[in-house]
Amino acid sequence: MEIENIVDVENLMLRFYTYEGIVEALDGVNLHIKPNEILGVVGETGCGKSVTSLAILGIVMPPGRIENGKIIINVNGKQIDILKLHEEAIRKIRGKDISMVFQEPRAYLNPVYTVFDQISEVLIEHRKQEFINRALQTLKNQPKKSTITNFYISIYEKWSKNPNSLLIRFLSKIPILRRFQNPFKKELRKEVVQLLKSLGMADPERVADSYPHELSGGMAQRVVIAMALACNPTLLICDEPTTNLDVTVQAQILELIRALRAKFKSSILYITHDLGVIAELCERVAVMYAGNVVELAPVIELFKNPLHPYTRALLESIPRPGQPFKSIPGIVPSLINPPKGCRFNERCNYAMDICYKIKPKFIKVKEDHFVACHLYGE
Amino acid sequence: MPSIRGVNMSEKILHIKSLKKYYPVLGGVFRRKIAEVKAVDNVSLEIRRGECFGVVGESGCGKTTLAKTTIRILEPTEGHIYFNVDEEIISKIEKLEQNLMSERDKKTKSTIEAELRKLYHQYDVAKFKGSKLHRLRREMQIVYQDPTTSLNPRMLVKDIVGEPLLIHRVVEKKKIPEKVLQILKKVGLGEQHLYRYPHEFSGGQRQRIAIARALVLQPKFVVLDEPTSSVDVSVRAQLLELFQTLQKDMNLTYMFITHDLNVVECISNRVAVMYLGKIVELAETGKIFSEPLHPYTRALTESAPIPDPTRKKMRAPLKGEVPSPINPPAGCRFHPRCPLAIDICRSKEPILMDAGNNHFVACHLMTKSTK
Amino acid sequence: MFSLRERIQKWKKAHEASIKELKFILFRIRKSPLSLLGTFIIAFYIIIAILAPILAPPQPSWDIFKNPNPFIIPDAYNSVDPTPPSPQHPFGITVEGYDIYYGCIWGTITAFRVGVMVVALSLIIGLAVGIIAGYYGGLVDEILMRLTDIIICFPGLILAMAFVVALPPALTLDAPTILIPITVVIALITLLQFLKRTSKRRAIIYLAITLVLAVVSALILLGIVPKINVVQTPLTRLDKVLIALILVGWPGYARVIRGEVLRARSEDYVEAAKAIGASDSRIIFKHIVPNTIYPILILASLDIGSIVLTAAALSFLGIGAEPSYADWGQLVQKCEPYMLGVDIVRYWYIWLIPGAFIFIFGLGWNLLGDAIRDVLDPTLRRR
Repeated sequence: MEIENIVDVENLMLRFYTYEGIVEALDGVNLHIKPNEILGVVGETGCGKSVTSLAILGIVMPPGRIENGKIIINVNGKQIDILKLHEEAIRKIRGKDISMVFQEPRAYLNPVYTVFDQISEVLIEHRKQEFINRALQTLKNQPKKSTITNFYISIYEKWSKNPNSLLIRFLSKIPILRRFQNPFKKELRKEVVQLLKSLGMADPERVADSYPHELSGGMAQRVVIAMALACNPTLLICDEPTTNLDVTVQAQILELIRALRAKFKSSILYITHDLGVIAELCERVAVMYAGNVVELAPVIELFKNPLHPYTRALLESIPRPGQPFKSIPGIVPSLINPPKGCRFNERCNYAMDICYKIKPKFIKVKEDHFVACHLYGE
Repeated sequence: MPSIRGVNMSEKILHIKSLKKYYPVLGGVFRRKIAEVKAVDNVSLEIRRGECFGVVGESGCGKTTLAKTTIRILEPTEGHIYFNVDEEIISKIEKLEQNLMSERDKKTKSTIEAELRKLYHQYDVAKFKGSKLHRLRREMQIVYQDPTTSLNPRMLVKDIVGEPLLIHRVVEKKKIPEKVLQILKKVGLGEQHLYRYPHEFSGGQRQRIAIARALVLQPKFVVLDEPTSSVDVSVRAQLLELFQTLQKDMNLTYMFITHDLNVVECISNRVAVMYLGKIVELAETGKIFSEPLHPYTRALTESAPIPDPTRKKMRAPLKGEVPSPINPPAGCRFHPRCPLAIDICRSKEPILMDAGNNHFVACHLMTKSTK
Repeated sequence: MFSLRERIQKWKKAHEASIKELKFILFRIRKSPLSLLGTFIIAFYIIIAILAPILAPPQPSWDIFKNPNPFIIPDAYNSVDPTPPSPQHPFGITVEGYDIYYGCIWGTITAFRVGVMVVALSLIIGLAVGIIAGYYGGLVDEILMRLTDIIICFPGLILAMAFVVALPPALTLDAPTILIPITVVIALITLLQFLKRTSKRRAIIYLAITLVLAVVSALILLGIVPKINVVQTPLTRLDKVLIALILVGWPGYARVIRGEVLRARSEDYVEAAKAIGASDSRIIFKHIVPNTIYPILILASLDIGSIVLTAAALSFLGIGAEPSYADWGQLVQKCEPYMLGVDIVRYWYIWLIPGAFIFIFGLGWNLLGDAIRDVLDPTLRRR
């Protein structure tokens, strides 16, 4: 029985319409992520890795426009094409089934809200019913029920039947009456502290009450990861989360991601330009260049047997002590008027005539090893 | 290990003695000093002519502050820096300092002090002012980490690279474009790049412009502050190659600051590891990576991910985070995170000592400096 | 030697990047209809201003004293009542017999003069104060900023009115008046030198100059050395308005540029310039100013419109230009006796036509300023 892929990106084309011209950011990207695996995406600046993740989340802003392609996600047994969904439907998926961790944690945390406020925002958005029920249960389990408790129970029962009822929302704005939310908030707090603890924080209570600027880089990144995992997503996208962190903190976070994957059973799409991290963390790797996925293979296979010339050049350019430095000649082509055929043709040592005319197809060369190169075509 | 050919082992171009850079923390109603950020705390080292001296450490360890204080972008709080000074004069100063410590007679003390002051005024970079400082800029330069912010976005490339020549009036105005073109060619750019703005270039090219600006005055000592951290992996190799070529061509001495151990292993001759403002280990590159002595160096080398999936790490990462430099831990600054800490580490600060073969460590366990 | 064509080509290549920028700016302006409208309005006014002598020729025969100043509206019609527009007087005549058409046309030049001069001079003063305060910081910053705070505390229009009334009828620059400000400035620079601790020699030289100047000023004040009148120029009422508006306007710019300078001061390229050994003035003029001045220029262009409005308000209150001067606000002032009655509708041409001129002028500058800001924003984002 074939295991369904969690995410299937087929032939994704994305363009940015700017004053300088049309930027062909993604030119037929093909990816697939299996359940419960860590897929690494490696590539240089401008290759389109961040934009691909934004497309999967459905937050491509104008002047960017998706021209073509399919992004099929497999959540709760259903297969949905993200590109065909409208905003409301995607919003339900974002944060719950797919969530994202960004590069600069403090830029993505709102500086005027505490950590608790921000994590509970995610929880309220997607798991409200659950917490209402939990609060109701706690209230009912109280041995001695005062009048207030009974009053709360009646409110919560109403609320549980209709989480978005106007009456409740109205009540939550009135100064003294809105204290009925306290049991609800207590449940939220319990969950947040639990989440922070599972992320290895030494003092979760204190962290929950701090503001983002009081946290160090590593802790802020952990908070963002907590926000991303709050609703137990099927897919977690990490866009260079450890690039700005110290190397010892990076080691901690990588260890954390591994542990969380085992616990939550999510798949992880890990974007980075650091080949060391890829080798350490990922199980399969996709190599991107100038808007295309040029190679996709399991990590050991990729490092041992790189097929695409770009992958080979990338691996060779890693500085090794005692050996002269090998770099890739030339620079990344401009995506406004991209070269015809294979976009790597200018810099490739093995370029043939056909590489300048026809774009290579993304084909399977070996078991689970895909390449887009004319050397392995026909 | 990079060859040390061309490095004159005995000739030293830079001596840093007991350098301190403290930032006052103002607080209270009257904004008085309530604490100090000890960014660089009593650092001493020597750099040999023609070598590439690496300084590694994580954020907050003070490596950038050390570099900027050395070339006098920042003013040192205490300490001495001797650049391009003869060994004899330095030993003379050292002897006078020692005499000053041991002398009791007030009169002799004041004469020694007067002589020391004269020597400091003449040779100590930390005390340079005015025109002396201005001339020093010709000899010591810096390349910043992020070329996007270190180049004036509204200046043309030819003006950016030509500005140092204009300021120091090394050549006549007419000859400036020629010199600018010369140095641009050396870093791999060409005439077509003269009349462009920095934002029209890629990251690697911008860094080359910054390098050209630093080298146009033909300095002797260049600080490279994480020059490859903001560029892509494939460009990194290009830049490292460029650094090596330029070093040979123009007889430069580098202080290479980075947090990327991979890079420092490939390009530097000797490495100093810093933690919270102090040097914890200093040795030749090969030795630091093959037998790291200090627990922090070991943690660093082990945490760095290796681009080889068959060698997955099994060791547990280092716990905790770098503490704030305002209130560093007592005793050895690393002891709260050190897996091998013993009692004395909590009370007494270890001194950087030679553990054999010019391999310096600041650790009680390694040097047995206690007892 | 290069031929003309070669020279042009060389210039083009040298400024290739700036030309590209300009083309982009023009493209963005073309795209937005409002900014196009603003540009057209201002262009329209500029054309009127240039063609003023042709559109409303001053005729010396009107004035028996052959007043050569074209800005004085000819008062040749002794009609007491205002006359509505007619073919000879397209916009009508006001109560004392001033031709509104003439006033509006020549008033355009006055408006530009007031707007541009006030903004330019207050910009210069504001920039100087703001840049010095922002760059040097510390005590200098505190002193200068408190000075600007004092002026900002007062409501602008009221303070301008106070200045207009308080300014002397003639500007006399005699020895103490020049010496004392110069002494103060040199004293401040001396203070700066001491605080920066550059070199003792320089500081002592400045201190010596300060002392000499202070002594001379004291002698003059005490009457020992006679006062020498250096310059004496009469100030027209319009000049007083200009000076008042300048004195009230510069603190705004000083504050804004100081904020920008503080931001730019901590940028890497400024530190890099210090590392190369650039002097303070070089850093300020070549590095900080080009990178901070754009928002200020936008503010300034928006201000031209509002300055003209303020000047018109002052004229309407009666403390602006002289009664016969060609100024829009002055013309509106003429219908002041009819303000609270039904005559205001009857004599609509007195206030509506100059008022429309004022309104559209302000609108044009506002749109243009908005347009420039919109254009420069994405460029900055691009960078």
